[in-house]
Amino acid sequence: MTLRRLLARAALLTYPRDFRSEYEEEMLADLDAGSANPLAQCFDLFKGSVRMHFDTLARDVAYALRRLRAAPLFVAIVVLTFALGIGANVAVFSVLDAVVLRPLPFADPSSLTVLSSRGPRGDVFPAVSPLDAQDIAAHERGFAGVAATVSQQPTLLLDGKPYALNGLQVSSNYLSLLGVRPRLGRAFTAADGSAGARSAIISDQVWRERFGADPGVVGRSITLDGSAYRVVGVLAPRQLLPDGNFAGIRSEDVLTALAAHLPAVERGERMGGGIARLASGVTLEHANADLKLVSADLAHEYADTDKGWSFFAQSLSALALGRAASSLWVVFAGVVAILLIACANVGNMLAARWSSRDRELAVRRALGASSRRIAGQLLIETAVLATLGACFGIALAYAALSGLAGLVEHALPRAGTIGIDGMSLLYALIVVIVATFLAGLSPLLSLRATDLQTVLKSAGRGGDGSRRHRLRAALVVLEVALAIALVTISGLVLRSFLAVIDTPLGVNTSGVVASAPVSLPSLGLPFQTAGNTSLQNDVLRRLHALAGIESAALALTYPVGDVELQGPAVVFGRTYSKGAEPLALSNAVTPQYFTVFGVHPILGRSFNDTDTANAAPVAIVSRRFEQLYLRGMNPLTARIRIQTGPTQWHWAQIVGVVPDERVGVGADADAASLLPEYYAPLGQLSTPFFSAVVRAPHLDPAVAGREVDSAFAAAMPLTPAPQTFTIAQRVAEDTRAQRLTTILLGSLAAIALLLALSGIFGVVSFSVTQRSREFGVRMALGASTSGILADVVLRAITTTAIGVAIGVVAAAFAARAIVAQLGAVSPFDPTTFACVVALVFVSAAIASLQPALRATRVAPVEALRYE
Amino acid sequence: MEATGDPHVFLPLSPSAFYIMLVLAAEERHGYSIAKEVEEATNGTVRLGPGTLYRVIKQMVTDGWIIEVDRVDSGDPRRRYYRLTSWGRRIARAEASRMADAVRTAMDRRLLSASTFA
Repeated sequence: MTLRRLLARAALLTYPRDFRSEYEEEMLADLDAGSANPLAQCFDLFKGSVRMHFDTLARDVAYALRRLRAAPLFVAIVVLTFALGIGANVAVFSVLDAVVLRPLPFADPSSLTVLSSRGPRGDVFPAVSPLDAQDIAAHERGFAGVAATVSQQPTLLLDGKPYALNGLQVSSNYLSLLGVRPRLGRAFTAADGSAGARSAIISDQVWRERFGADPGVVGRSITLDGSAYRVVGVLAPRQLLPDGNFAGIRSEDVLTALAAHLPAVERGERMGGGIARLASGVTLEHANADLKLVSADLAHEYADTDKGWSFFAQSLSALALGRAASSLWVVFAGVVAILLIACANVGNMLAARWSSRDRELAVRRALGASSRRIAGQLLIETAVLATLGACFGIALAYAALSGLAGLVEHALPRAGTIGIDGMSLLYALIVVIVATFLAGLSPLLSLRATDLQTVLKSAGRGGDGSRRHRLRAALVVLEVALAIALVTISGLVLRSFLAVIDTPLGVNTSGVVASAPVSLPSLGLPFQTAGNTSLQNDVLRRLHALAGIESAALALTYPVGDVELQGPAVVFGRTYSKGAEPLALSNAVTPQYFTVFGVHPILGRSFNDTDTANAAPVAIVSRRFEQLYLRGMNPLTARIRIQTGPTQWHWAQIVGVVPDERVGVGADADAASLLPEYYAPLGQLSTPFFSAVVRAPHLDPAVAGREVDSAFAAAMPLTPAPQTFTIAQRVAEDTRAQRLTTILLGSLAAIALLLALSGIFGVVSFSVTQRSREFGVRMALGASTSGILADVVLRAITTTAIGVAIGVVAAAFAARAIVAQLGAVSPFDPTTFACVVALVFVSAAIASLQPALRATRVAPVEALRYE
Repeated sequence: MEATGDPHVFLPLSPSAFYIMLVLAAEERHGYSIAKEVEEATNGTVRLGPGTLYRVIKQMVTDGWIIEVDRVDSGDPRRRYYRLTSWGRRIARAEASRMADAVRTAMDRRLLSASTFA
């Protein structure tokens, strides 16, 4: 066989069978006679084949559209069902893609890691001190580069007005390590790390808002925290950067260069971060094994700060995106469930519609139409419906994403990049194809069940063919199971969320307005020397003078505050092995702090104005502290050690015990137990920052906030006034991510339940129509209305029950898989399960009521007359 | 039974369809000879490969524009002959007059001159 023939035969195989049977011979004869080159002929054959298939497709689509136009209600319901299923999928996928799937915007992001420390008590946090970071860089061979970071909140002084910025001090190789280039100017060089260099890179937003997008800003001098810095570059718009710390990745307003040579006092301060890039060919495990050795060396060499500490690296992507990823995958599972339910519904509806053409199709098949052709037509009709549904679904998804934008903005990393883009549309296409096949599966299967003889014999007699009915019932069971699983998971998540926001904080927070921490004007030292109590007193005085403020205090932190301070709880007279002292939360407050929160000492007294820096050192502890660490002694005679400066401390006499307060909610909280806490008077120690808390129960919180701002502005005019908020607002902010997941899952659960119920309604309705003859006969023979009613409803309930049973098992498995996200709520919480099951049974009964009533209204004469 | 109706709904025809009908207007032909005749008549500008040729032939047979005749080619029994139906002839004629109108208009607007037909 010549090459020409071989190619021709291959190309001819792509033509439809009936065409080939008629024209293949002639075409081969032509090809033999022709002299054109075989490749051109082959190409022409393919072209013809493609064109032919396309023409057939166009004809089938036109035919499908014509048929669908005749049934607008059916089309509307199916398209809506598809729109919900496909739209939900596109929306969630867009979020998943933007937040989790897309690689981070750095060079080779999978090799970037965050340096983390593990303390002697086993506590782990993503932070290292800058000196440790430098040493790791020097000794660890598995890293291609290490950059240290330190978070700051510098104040930009522009035209005499202070602006608070989020900033990051970074080592000079930070940007080049990440592969990030500034849009204007340059990145830092080693020269910027030398002492006194003071270089800064600003963000695009700061450039536009504060400097009017002036292209001459590079080289300009700006004032940060009272010192002059030179702007050397401007970052690209919306640039995200890793802070090496808890925040993962976020946008920074300004980057400043870390001095290359840092004072030794920095080593124990683990408030900085480190980003390390793995060298090519080095795995994370390999690098961590090496780091263990380096840690041991450092612990040995710097025993007073590093003993008992070890360092390791975590993947940056996992740290920044991990938590969001686990919630989003759960939500994604939810929308997949919804898609399955929607396809099952549409499948049932299509099967019902096509079953009315039983006779016509059987005759057509008997006359020689291929089953493939008929199946093809069914699929095309389904595909047209799915595509229409997808168009509406994408519009729905767009609306949903726009509507949720505010909720999502701070709850998920990279939320600003969420949108319907090429990937989302590609995903929509895949979903349309999958949905077409899933939805078409059931009617296709029931089509096969028809041969001419059976159809002609049974046509006219009505009745619900048992095989078809089993298929429909099976789909309903599937829908109910999926809906149960989704509603149960959503219920568990909701319960967990409610438990979190209802966590009693132990203090009276109504009417309390708190401020964010205010940094005292920096003198270039990490801590202030004593003597700035005058500033604190000034602020307090102004706060007290404000109208409507009942009590006011300053504190380092407060419940649900941004700051959490921990210190060793060392009791005088007790011995502890070095490094193994128990921990407690620490706070420093002015006397009215407890009054602001409506807290009264259980024992002893609160602080008062005599507890100044010159008076005897005192302290107050929480009840938990007393229970844990002061057992067997009178707390009012005990003394504990209080840190008063970077290297200073004193023994303080405990003068009071107060009730416990909870300091955090949501993911940050230790939900199971309250932590012990101790308090020192703010005036007795040095601090670089403080916050204000005021009690103003009769003032609108916004007004109270403004008053607090004005007090700060008057006392500290060169420092930007802090943000103020109520405790409730803080709780809401802290639980943003959880709120988002709860709302998303809740909405999906509602959609799933509605779809499943409409599926039940549709199937029961169809069944009643098919059985109307039977009901007519039974009524004619004397059956009671209630009997018919019970028959229909019971049938529906039985099918639902099977779905419920399967769904409950599925829900239990799913709940176990997400147990980490449920917090204190048990994954097998019986209340939730019971409520969901009851809800589904009741709604299924209601959904089947209307068709059941219809069944009782069948006039026997009409039914018997039906032919 | 011949189809009836208004031939103008099918205009304009695709070049392949028109030239095939043109060639069949004179005499019955089989597929290969149609293709060769079309190529000659258009000086090689319209070349019908077997893919296009038989696809269009099948469509025209389905629509009733051409019809297969009971004639066997002595040289190659695989070949089948086709001829125009009267319905097809009307459609071809309609298309040809449409083109003639276009040429006339072009001449009126001096886009073409009479020397084109020399």
